[in-house]
Amino acid sequence: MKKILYILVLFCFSLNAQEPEPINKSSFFNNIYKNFFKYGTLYVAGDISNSYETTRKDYFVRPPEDGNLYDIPNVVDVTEYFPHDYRIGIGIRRIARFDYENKEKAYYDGTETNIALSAPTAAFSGWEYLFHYEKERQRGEVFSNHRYFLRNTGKYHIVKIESREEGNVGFKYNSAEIRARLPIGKKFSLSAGIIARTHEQAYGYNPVEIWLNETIINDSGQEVIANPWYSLGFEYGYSDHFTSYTDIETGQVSYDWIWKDADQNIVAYSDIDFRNTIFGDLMQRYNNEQWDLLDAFAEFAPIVGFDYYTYSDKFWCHSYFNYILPYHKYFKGEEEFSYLNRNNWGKGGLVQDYELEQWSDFQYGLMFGWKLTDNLGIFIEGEYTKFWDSKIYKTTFGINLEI
Amino acid sequence: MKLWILTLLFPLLTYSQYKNNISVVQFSAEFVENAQVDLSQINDASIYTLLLSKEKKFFISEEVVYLPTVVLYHNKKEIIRIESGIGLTLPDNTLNLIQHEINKIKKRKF
Repeated sequence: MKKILYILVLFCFSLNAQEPEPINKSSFFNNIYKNFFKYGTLYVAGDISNSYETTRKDYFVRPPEDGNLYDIPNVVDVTEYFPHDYRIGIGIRRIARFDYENKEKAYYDGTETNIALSAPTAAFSGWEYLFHYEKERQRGEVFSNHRYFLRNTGKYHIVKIESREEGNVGFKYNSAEIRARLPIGKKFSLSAGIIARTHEQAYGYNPVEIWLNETIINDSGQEVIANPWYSLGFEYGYSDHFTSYTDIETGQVSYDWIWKDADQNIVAYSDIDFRNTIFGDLMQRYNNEQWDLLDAFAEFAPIVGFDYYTYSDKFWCHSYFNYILPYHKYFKGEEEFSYLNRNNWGKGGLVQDYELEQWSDFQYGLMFGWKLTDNLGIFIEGEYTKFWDSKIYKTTFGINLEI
Repeated sequence: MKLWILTLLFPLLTYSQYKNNISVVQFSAEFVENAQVDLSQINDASIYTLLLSKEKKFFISEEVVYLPTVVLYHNKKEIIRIESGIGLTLPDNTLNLIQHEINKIKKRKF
């Protein structure tokens, strides 16, 4: 990633160096200020708010100190109370808004969203950037988030590098792209280039399913289950104990397995009880441990797109489309667990004679507004993104009638 | 598909583009060439020089009275107009005035 960043930055400075000399020559530092820092905003901002609270409290009953189970119990408030939520961040930004976008607030605090961050082209030629880092606490848990975005847009090129992390949802994404751009008129442009992206998730790879489906050939030559589902409990220190239950009234005796944890506390009174309560968490724990063993994945692929933008007070339309072609090549992470094998996992692992399966990703955005009369206007705004298995979309549409 | 592409390209090819986004237009004529200002010194705007002999319809539609006249447009709206007057000479600070207005427009974008 660092190498890619280095190459992209070198490329952009090289592009800038090819521009004609300005008539009014200014100093090197003045140029840096004018081209990179002018109109930028440095901010430190935060917020504090109430933490989440349940509408009704939770209670628990406990036997009195010198009593037994059948004495009047003490009712204890066990509602989970969280300390206040907060967010504190620092950042510097220089992102131009398109004409149809209004500044959300009179100041910047790091919560802004701009179309320019996802559209392939910009409302402004030159350098745009956002470097934002923040710590936040939600429901008592502290997370780190960041968004680093750097783009250089010119008449014939687009270079962009981005890194995002949303700690509270475990989202991490890095990308770098370089494109040649072909303007057709003042409003429309085509672009084509290459994009490198990372993803954390091993799509299609479900370790516990594979583990449960493993089979072995026993001494009799028969194929048998290698890992019975309950043996996952043994892996995490649980033990089962054969037990009999007697119905005192009828004398009927039944048998099952009780389950104890590593400290010999009973955690389930039957196999089905164990499976319905403890086992689900163990599956998740096993999967997380196996997924954590994998490195993040990184791949590159060709990308093409178009961008159309027109604006006047009465009518505006901004439409963009990015299409990542199905020629992906992984350069980081184990290809065996990559998205190319998302449909190749079967009983006990990868199916025999599997073939890597390519895919297409795309992103489409449309911002459209039309003031039909002085009092009546319609608008549609939306973006649809399909990256790997993720489909993210958001649309707003409506009519405004001034009375 | 062809119809769709033509529909998309129609506004690109037909509508006068000299007033789009941030544009500086110098309305002039050959006989006042010496009175023109050098628009290439303007930053962050598209620049156009229209000559009366070639683009007369725009002079009429924009109600240009004096030559040369420099007009700054932003998204088809006229922001500032600087006219030469009967002396056929633009003010010395024409470029500064135009650049100042452009800088104001740009600042509002961030």
